[in-house]
Amino acid sequence: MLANEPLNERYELRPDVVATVLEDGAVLLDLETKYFYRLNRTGWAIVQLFELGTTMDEVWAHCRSLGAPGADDAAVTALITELSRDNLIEMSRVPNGGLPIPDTTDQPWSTPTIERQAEPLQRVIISAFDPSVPLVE
Amino acid sequence: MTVARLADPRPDQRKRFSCGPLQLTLRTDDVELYDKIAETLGLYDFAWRPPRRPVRIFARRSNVPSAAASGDFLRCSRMLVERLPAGLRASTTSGARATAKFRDTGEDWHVTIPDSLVAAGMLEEIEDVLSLVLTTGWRRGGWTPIHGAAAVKGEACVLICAPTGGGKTTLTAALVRRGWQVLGDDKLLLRMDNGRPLVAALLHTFNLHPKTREWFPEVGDLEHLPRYSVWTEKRKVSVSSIWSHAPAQSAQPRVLIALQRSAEITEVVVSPLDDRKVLEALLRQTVIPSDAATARLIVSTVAQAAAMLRGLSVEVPTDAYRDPAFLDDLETRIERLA
Repeated sequence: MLANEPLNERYELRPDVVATVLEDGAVLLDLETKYFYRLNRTGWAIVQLFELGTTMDEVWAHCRSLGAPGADDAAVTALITELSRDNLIEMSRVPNGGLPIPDTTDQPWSTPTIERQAEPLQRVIISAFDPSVPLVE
Repeated sequence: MTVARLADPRPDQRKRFSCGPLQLTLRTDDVELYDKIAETLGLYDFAWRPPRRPVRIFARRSNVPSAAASGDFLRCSRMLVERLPAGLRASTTSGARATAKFRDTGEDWHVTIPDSLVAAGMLEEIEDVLSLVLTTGWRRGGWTPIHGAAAVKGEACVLICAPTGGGKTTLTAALVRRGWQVLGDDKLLLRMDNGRPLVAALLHTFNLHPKTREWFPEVGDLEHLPRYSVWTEKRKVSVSSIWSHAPAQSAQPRVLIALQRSAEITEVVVSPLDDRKVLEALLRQTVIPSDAATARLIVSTVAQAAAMLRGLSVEVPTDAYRDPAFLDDLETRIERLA
């Protein structure tokens, strides 16, 4: 768990986790497990840091710069815990530092949320066109 | 070594197939194989206006075994697909193989089919390979294939989402009988067009179960038609042969219906669908390969489209169409949302 890791260790999204930005946040799709996740805007503002590789220190500093109140620390922790528990992030292979932090300071802070869909997309499908569960033949 | 020259088994005009935005050229010196591939490609009867992306298929029989593909791009029930540096490689359970080489403007596919598949008339695995050829070409041409139905009436265009066997065709046919036009009952292409989703038709055939006649007598006796595949009772029927007004080319969907057939209810249940469920419903209607660059484009298109759609959940009992009064209410709700 990240809670036991040094705060200056860098983490990044796994290469097969695909992020798509929406008007009200983002969608993450884990191509390995086929689970997808909805993030609100603040959730995405945090997860975006992991696209470039970031440390927990930087995450907390970024949250503070966005105006995060202490009352939302639990939500930030829950978000990072979910990213870690579902292996959406991994130890970064990029050397420490030097990467710009995305400028999201114009966004109003709201409690960050991440929501995993209850059922993953199918891993084995009928055909290249039909994503349904294969029928018993 | 003898190098076989590819002969043209059919007059020139029959070697080319327009499959939506693709212009497929089929080259093979094997007449039987040609006929089987042509049967599948010929279903795409809706010719788009040029320009079309060129895709070439070079097909031959071969019984030489080769390693199965890894499935790191796609895992289907009868086919595995793996990534190559500039293409794809696919293998099917019974030994069909296909290798694609991507060009800037299109793709070249080399397809080998074992004798046993051709002799047994097992079209399914040849269809699987062709499905990969087509979806790859459509995606690389900027379209996202959607396994859904769509119908349009005036400004109202509705996308109908359900898994295979979930009732897409029946609901679409029920709407067509009420004056709607149809873009497709299970195969569509989607892209964003000036900030709005656009769906386009690929073929104007319905896969109808013969018992549909009990509800829609005008479809006639379908029993005498050949089965669409060995796995289903459904028959392939030209839409315009039954409902001449029906075929439509493209439309901007405004409403998404997540359709469910249920044996446990006796009345149709219609309820609103929130944004999250609309996105989920649409994501479940498209194949997302395990390749980050490809997946990113698909999810982006689907997410942008879903954000522009209003959703309805429609649960229908198995015999709902015997008394289709529920369609009055459904049409009103669709028009209100559109």
